[in-house]
Amino acid sequence: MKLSYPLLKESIKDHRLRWLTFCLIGLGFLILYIATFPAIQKSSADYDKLVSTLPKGVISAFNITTGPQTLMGYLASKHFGFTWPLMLIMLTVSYSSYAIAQGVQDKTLTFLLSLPISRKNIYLTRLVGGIFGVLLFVVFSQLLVIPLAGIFGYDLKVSEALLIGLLGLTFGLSVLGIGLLASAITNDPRKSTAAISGVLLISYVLYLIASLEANLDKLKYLSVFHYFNPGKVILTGRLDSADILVLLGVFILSSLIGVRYFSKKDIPM
Amino acid sequence: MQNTTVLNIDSVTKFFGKQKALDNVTFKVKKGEIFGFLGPNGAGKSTTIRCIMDTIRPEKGEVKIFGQNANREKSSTNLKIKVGYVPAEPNLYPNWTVDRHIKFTENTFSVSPNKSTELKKILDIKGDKKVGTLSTGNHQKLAIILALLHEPELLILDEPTRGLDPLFRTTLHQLLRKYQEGGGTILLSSHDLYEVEELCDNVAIIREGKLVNDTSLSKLKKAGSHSVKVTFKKNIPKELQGLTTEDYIISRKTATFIIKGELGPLLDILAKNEVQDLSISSPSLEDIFQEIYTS
Repeated sequence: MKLSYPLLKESIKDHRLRWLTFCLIGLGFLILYIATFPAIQKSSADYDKLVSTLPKGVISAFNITTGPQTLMGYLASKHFGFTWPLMLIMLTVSYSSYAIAQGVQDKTLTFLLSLPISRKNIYLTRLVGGIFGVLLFVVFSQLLVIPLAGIFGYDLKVSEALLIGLLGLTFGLSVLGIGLLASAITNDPRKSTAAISGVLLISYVLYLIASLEANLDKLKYLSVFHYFNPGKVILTGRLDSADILVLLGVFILSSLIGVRYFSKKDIPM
Repeated sequence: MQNTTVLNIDSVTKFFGKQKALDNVTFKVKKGEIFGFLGPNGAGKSTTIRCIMDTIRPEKGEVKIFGQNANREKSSTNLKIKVGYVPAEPNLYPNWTVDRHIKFTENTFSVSPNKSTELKKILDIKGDKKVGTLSTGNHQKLAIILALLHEPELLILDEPTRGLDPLFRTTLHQLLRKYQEGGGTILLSSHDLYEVEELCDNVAIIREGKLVNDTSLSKLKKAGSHSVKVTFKKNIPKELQGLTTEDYIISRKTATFIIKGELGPLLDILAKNEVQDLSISSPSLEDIFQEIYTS
């Protein structure tokens, strides 16, 4: 199994505008949150009081950390734990749906399959294209916090930013893996988008239920969102290797199933 | 033409759900021939071609190209180096330009742009146009360039002239003849009886997913009814009135004749008279098949 470099090049060319738009929006959000940090820091005491009144389940469910003492703590609770994954999911789902299912619908996949590019190569190339997109988004919307913090005059632990970037990347990969699998199965970009959105929504609902109901706590292990918790990274100062392994496991397993399924299936044209 | 088998379709059966789309289809295409694959719409021509191109895989039987299984991933991918394919329906990226398609295909095959430059000139197509803005004819021209630019040994054409103007049909036929003279082999799927007759050395006829063995090209030709509309300079000649049971007179000078089979006898009579206008509508293959199998 090898990459088709001409296809990868064209794939990146096709998606550059979409990726650039998401990257700039992600960067815009990052700047916005950094710019509003001083005001939030001032009202930190009130914020702490408010958080202390919330049930533990709600705090855990929405990744709320008490006291945004540091910029990264604030970003982890307000941005990386909620708006950022939403943006990443939108980016990944739109790419995945296009990558395979759109090709079946508009028949462009028959063009690719008439060339000496195997189905496995097509899948792998689309996967690598997606990884490139996720990586680009992580750099623009997460890792640029390092120079931006310097520009805005804040102290920042670079290691925290890097760990959150790594967590974001593995979360993006897991969503990409599931998205491409849905795209390979459904043959229809709308169905693919609906399927992956449905899976992620169910995953999030399970996470919420597990956080709010103590006796259903174990449900959290079924949710991909349990393993993506930037707040926990800030609190502990390290990445939980189990979280990374599970997210990577989801990515690898869904990709392997996707490649196998796509290689065997009839392409309905 | 040589005796080597380039394409071997052996007992291919394909189901879509419970519906049998192909039933035990078997035929061989020899090196250097233009092989016609004739059948009405929905007969199974495109399904057979999709099995050959490995976008779908048969439940039973085997497709072999140059002796290699065309439905195994590795051999199928390698075989594409030797195969050019023009599909029945547009399958190109609407947002890509003509040149982007060509460059991408050249890069994938690792070939120089010499052949595509020559083909672009012959087929008279501009490179900077986006595929989404191309006419059916230009879209088809691009598909043909993409299928030929790596100089394949086998060319698979699925209804390549559908919806094209007669001028381009002629250019394409000339191109195909030249390709054959250069040693190339062609599988030409069509529902145009006359195109197949003009171009092909051998023919397989398919109907409802099965190869038809009880029908030959000549039988098909005899079965169809042509509609011939003639306007004479003077009144309709008496010897033409009542030529067929289905002729009818539109005016004093114009008549339409429904002629089953050969047109020769009618044309012989017309040659002896002064004709002002003449139009002949050929029967569609669907009509011919309906006539054969319902009679």
